[in-house]
Amino acid sequence: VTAAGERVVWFHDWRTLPEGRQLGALHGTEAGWGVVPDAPLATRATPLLYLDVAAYDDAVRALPPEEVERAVLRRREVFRLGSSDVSRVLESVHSAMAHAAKTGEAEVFGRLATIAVELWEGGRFGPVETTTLLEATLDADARAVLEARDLPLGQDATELENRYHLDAEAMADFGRPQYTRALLHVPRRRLCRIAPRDEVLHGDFHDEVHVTGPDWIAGPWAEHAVETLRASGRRVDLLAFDPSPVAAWALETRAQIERDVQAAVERMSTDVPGVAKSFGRDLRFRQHAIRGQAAARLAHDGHPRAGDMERDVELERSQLLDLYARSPDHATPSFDAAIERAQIDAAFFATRSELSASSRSRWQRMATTLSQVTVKRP
Amino acid sequence: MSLKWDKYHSYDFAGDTYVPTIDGTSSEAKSFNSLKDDFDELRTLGSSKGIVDAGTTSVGTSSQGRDLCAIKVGKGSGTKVLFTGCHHAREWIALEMVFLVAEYLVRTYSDSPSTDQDKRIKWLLDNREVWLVPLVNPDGHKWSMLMERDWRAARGLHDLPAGDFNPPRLDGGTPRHITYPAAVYTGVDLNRNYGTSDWGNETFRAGSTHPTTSADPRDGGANSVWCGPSAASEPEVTAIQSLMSAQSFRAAITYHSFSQLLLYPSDGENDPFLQFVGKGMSSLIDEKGNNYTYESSNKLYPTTGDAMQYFWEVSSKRPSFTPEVRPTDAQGEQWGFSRLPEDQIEGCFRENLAAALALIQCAGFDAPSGPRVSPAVTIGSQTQIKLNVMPNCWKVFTGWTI
Repeated sequence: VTAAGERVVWFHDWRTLPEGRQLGALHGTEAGWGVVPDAPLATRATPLLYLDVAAYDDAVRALPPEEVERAVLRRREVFRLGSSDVSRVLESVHSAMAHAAKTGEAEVFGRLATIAVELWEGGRFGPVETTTLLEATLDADARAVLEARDLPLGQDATELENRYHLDAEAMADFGRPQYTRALLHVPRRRLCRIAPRDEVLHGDFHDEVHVTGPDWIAGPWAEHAVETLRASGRRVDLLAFDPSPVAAWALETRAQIERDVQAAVERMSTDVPGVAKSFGRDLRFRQHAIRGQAAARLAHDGHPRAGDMERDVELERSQLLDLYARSPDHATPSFDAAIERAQIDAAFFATRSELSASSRSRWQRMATTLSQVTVKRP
Repeated sequence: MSLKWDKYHSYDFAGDTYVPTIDGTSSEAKSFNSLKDDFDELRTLGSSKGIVDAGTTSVGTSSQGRDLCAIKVGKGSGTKVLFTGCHHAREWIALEMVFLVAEYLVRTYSDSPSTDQDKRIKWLLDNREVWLVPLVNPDGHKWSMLMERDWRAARGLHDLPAGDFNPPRLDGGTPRHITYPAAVYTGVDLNRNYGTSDWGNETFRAGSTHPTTSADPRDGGANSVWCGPSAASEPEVTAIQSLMSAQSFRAAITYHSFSQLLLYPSDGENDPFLQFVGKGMSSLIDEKGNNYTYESSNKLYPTTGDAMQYFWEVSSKRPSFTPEVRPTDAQGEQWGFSRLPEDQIEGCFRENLAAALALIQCAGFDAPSGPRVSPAVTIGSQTQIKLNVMPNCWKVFTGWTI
């Protein structure tokens, strides 16, 4: 849990940022790093290191001073605001949705879901053909079916399969009937920790994002090939049902990677249902985001199946509320904290010169929308 | 000369949008140029100079009906060269390499050149015909912009019955047993789908269970190495194979990313002509100060059904290369492998341009026959090449001013 509106920044000369609190200094220089509130940072091209103090604390926890310095210097090279801003606000919005779902506030949940969809897709579906939109829809549908069959997501695989077939019929109308004949196979990659680490294993991960520990590599591995890997004599621990965490881990310090990987192992060994529900929630959110776009497109085009799909998307949204209510979420302690963080972050991003003018203007609109969500709350 | 190296191209979209983050959980802002629009502009400019065939806009269509956009540059139809890029959807830089070579050639060409470099370009385009296909996998590329940033394969659909078989291994090892369910499969790796003499053989790194060429359709997908249900099952591959057959190219190059390598066909180690051209190209890249390792494709990892090998076979061993351009392995880890920042495009192009131009020129050479006797001559600053072939041709690897 973090104080909103404070960032960890790199400074070339501490005297230029008087409102801040110094965390560390580069030996023998005026340069260093510290915590600075949003207001004096506005429009300054100061290198950001972490978007909140808690993330910094987590990164340097238990590191000796020289390693803290090394971690900060590396972070200065690898951190890019442009690829972190949406993730950051989206996390807050998802968390707010979870709080709203748990208290049964369907209208607020719906408004937030619309914001989350906009953040996730970012207009990228706008210029694409209807068939490409349906292709993305069917991919998401099939993924949900396959995972619901195999994992304890608490979701009805048969109902999800019916949804796949509904969308496959729409695709068939566009001259692509293959999806109606069988379920699309969607490759599923699991995030695994594999040991022992050797040259062969390094070769296997040549073009995969991965992280390494003392005697292991953690990265994605095809679900259908995990047993073959085990049979070859490797020890394989499941860390997550999809590879997404590894991209963030790849930017961490060695000690932080080892902590995070170990935490993932422990989570998976003590709370598979909780991990599965969170994973299932994210899968269904993305499916809903895409289906909503597809349904709107079909309606815009006057397609005869548009009505069926739109009604099903409405039904899907109520199911989504139920999933958010049942899945664990620890990103923020309360609805108000989640909204406040999202709003403050959006307002901050609207001032950052690292972002393009169109991004800044988008964040300004988003901050306004988020403030209205709070006002309209019963 | 300032070319379009400030941002990446999409197939047909220009402007600002958001693309999926590498982990797929969110989106990040990007700005794109449109390949279709920029090729139209180049075609118009090139036609006005008399060096571009305005009628050649595409060499085929993808499984979803997108054009394999192409441009044909040069007047020397007796000596043709093929450039291809972006077989692998996520390797956006590979598209840029081919596009920028095309843009460089068209914009540089002048009927009255003033500099030595411009005179060489004029000579090249008066005596060569260069076909450039920057985006062999437009469907996959679109998918990588829209859904999965790390998507590598094509997007054609294959409605397959359940399978149960033991595909052969290239190394002669014991075949593995594969079973898969009936399903609609997608994600053929275009660079495993060419109809080489060994298509369909699985490959592995020594000691690994992880295939580098797979006959299992379940290995399709984001990081696919699936060779497809049959050789040239994908229309994109059929189109390039047909083009090779129809045009009888004298040299070919296919760009990939990453690792900074210049690869040659695995059975070309002892081919003096191939090595002459390859080492010369390698020296030109290294002269720019950002070294690429020159090695057999087998050394990176073994594969079957790839474009470079296919051309090598069907052209009776004409020069065929695969540059694996920026980033390095270490930088790849920092940038998420295929997410080379836009500010790297120009440098990547510049370090590869002279090698590309030299290859175009080398396409006119014939591999010599008869005894080979020659002294050693240094080409470039890095590589010493024994000129046991074509003693007067080494100058092609000197004097480029990029």
